[in-house]
Amino acid sequence: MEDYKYLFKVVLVGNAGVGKTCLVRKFTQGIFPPGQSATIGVDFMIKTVKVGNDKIKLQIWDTAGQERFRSITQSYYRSAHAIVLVYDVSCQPSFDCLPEWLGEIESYANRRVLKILVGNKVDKGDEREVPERIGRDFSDVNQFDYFLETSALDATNVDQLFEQVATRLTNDMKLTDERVHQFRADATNSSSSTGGPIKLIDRAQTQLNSCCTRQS
Amino acid sequence: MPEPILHSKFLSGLPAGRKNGVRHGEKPEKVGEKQFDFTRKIRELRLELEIKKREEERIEKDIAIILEENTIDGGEQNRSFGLAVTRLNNHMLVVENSAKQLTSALKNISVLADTISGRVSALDVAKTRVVGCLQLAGDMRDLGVCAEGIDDAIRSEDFETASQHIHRFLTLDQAVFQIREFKQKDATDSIRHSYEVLSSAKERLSKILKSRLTESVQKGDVAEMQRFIKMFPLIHEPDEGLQRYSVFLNQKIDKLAEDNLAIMKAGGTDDNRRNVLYADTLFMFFEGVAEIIESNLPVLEHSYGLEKLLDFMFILQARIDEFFRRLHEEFDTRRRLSHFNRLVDDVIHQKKAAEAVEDAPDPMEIDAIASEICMMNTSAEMYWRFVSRRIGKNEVIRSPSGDGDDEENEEARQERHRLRKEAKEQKMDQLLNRSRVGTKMQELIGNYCLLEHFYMLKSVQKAIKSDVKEDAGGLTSSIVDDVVFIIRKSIRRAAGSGNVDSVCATINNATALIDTVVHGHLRQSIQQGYVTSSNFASEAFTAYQQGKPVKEAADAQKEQFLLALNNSAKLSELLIELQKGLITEWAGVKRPDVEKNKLEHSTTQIEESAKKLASLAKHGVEELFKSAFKNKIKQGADPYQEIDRQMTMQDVEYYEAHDPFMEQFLAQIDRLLVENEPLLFADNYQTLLLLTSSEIARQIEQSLAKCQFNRYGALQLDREYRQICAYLTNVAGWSAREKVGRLGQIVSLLNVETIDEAMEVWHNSKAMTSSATIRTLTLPEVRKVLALRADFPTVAIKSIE
Repeated sequence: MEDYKYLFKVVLVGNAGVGKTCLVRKFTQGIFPPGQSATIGVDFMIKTVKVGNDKIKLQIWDTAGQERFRSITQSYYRSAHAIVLVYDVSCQPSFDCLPEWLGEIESYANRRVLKILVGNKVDKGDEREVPERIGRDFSDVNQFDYFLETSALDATNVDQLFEQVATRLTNDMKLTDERVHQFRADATNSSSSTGGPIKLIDRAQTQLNSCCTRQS
Repeated sequence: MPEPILHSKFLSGLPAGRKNGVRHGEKPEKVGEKQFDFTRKIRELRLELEIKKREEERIEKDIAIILEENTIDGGEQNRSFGLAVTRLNNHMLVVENSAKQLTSALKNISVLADTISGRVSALDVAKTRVVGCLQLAGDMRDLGVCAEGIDDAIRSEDFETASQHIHRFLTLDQAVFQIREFKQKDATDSIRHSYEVLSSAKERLSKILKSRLTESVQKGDVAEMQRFIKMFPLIHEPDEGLQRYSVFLNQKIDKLAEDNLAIMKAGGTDDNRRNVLYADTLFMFFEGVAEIIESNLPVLEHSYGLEKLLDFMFILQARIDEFFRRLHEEFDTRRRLSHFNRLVDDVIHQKKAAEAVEDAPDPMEIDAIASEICMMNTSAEMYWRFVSRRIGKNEVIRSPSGDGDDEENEEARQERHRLRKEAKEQKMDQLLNRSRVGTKMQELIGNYCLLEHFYMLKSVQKAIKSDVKEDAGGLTSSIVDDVVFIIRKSIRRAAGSGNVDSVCATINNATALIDTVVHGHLRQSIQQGYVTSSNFASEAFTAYQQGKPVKEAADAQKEQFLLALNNSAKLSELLIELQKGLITEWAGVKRPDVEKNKLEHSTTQIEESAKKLASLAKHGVEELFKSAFKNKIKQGADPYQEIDRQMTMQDVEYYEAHDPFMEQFLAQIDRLLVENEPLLFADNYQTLLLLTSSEIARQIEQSLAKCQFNRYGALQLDREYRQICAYLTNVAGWSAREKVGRLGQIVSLLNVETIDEAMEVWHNSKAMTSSATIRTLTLPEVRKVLALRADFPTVAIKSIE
């Protein structure tokens, strides 16, 4: 494998036909596939992006929205670093399903997962059924880390979406790394005495474990 | 002539000027000095004048001579020049004439060329018309022949010939039929007549063929059917033919379906395969369908071509879907799939409290159903592969031969080829993924993933519950092998289904189980801690309170701890092995790149789970080390500072024979290690060794910080350091050397003659260890170390930089 600083797992979920595959294709291949048929199972793409001077590899799992693939897609939540929940701004029902998806995310995903809400197909103009305000409010109320309206057709915000994902995950990861180093340093410095330092080592260890959990 | 004019000017002009000049100059003299005698002067002047006159004459003569010479020459030149010009002029006239001739000649030629090309193009037109006429005539003749032959052919039931006639008729140029609209009555009459005859014949033939085919389908006469089916494309009604033929094939498929369903409902032919009854049925059915297609496709392929073939598959698919619907229904009710699904979903996602699910399904039953679904998917995949191979193969043969249009440019052809391929792929996708069989199968695979997850969960839970240490000598217990076995089995089963997504999902679920349930179980045992005599008192108290025999409880806990520790390390190792095994296992299977990528990235999760377990094991070893080793090493190192380090040469020599400390210290540690070695898994023991190495280095460092050295003391220290190194390298290998690297630096700093030499040593070590994991001593640390040398002046140490 080529050299990269971090590898992140990004999982896209949302109702069937909201444009998940098109978003991913636009980002990874720069094309908008017209007449894209429904995804079967899970699609998989890799793209390397740069955050600052670091090379970041994004592993993108583009799941099928249809109900019959649910048990397959559910298995991807736990190890995801970022979950991108997509709805179609010109389709109210796809927005109405968001609480259901959120429920899934909360029950299967890691608690520290980066949650991103995306309203796709803003190019549809007059056909819009979900105003931006409503989407933003929903994302605020449900503590999404980021909200964005995109269009895979005219490329609005597509690159920005994935850049944000990469940047935020990288910053989080760097913070965790630093903390682990800090704890380790603390642990070695004060380990000559007994009592306190054992706890510190434990803490460093748990920190390390949690960091590993995220890396998976 | 110019010469005389020039001459006269010359004569009159210049002497006159001079005379004037002289006159102006003489006048005042004449007026003012009348008394003076000018005679001499005048004579002089006259003489001079005379000289000048002669000179003038001579010059004039000269000029005349020169001019004369020149005039003679110039005249001659002029003459010859004039002649040349005349000659040239004559030549020019000749050239002009020739040019004029050339022009007219060219004009002629161009006129001629125009005429010729005009004739050629006229000929060309004539030729195409002739060809057209010939074609038309041929067509008309064919038309006549067809019209004449058709009735006979139909009457004599020679449908092959008849349909050939119709085919010829239908492919005739439209121009033929336009002829009947004009000019001579008698000629157009015959054409119109033929046209009408053939049109009606076509209708009749079409009707006859349809009824004959239907009839033969009803009778099940394969030879007749295959005879008639070939004719439909000839009379341009392929869909009619396909429709009728598919009725026949659909009957066959339906019959096959009925037979298979009947056998299935009767419980199958083999009691041993009862639990894969439905998968077997599906397999038999697909085999049958494939056989039907295989035996009928060549005929269709030959006379209908590829595009129609795919359409034909769609017609058949409806019946296959119908069969599958019935099979699935039966499967669902008999195997209680929906029921189990609900229960399993509840268990996995803990939607109900654990005790509420009292009728939790038996994992063994789930196991069987999971296997059966996998087998069903395998059959379906095999059938799809058969279909795409049959139809995909045709494409490859067709495309290179193309349409024979060499003039058509390559790009356009490729573009068309691409479009056709895309359309075909879309149709294939439609057939494979969106047909009922396709979607139902996807649904079943979804169910399967859930069931597999449940099976793994329950099996792992069971493995944890029934965890036993196999034999007294073993370091690990049954859980390690069980867990790996379960996971391997599930992943392999998923891989056997042929559906990559289900493999990935199973790997996801399996690693989730390891990270949560298994990891949690092991961590719990490790977190309870390692019991040693030092913390025995508190443990004993707890045990006493719980009413357990104190010694036994402590031993049991100790054993549990070690077991969990070793299990983690072993499991980690086995998981890495499993991952590698899966990769090599799958390397030979041909798959699209996307699917390969999926699998590759999914398997890395197994490795990550393994790493987590390894770090858990490491954490456990640290615990063990803390409670069983750390204090003992510290106690062992304590006496070190009691030795006086301000030695004499005699002391050093004496210590060489009678070791004051180190031998005993190392022997003590060795006893500890030897005691623990058989209790620990190899990886864990190595971790322990490294921890011990670091701790020894640290303790010695701390102890020597309390001593004061002289040169001989340092020498003794160096000897001791070598002892430590030799011992650790011996037991723990080279990686242990790294752990005592810092101590090594301190020792070499102390083993110097002067401060300058110490600085040199320090700078050297800095340069050498720049990239290594060992940190070099900092300047304050160096000062501190050097201060341990009692013989170095404090002021000098303070001033180093």
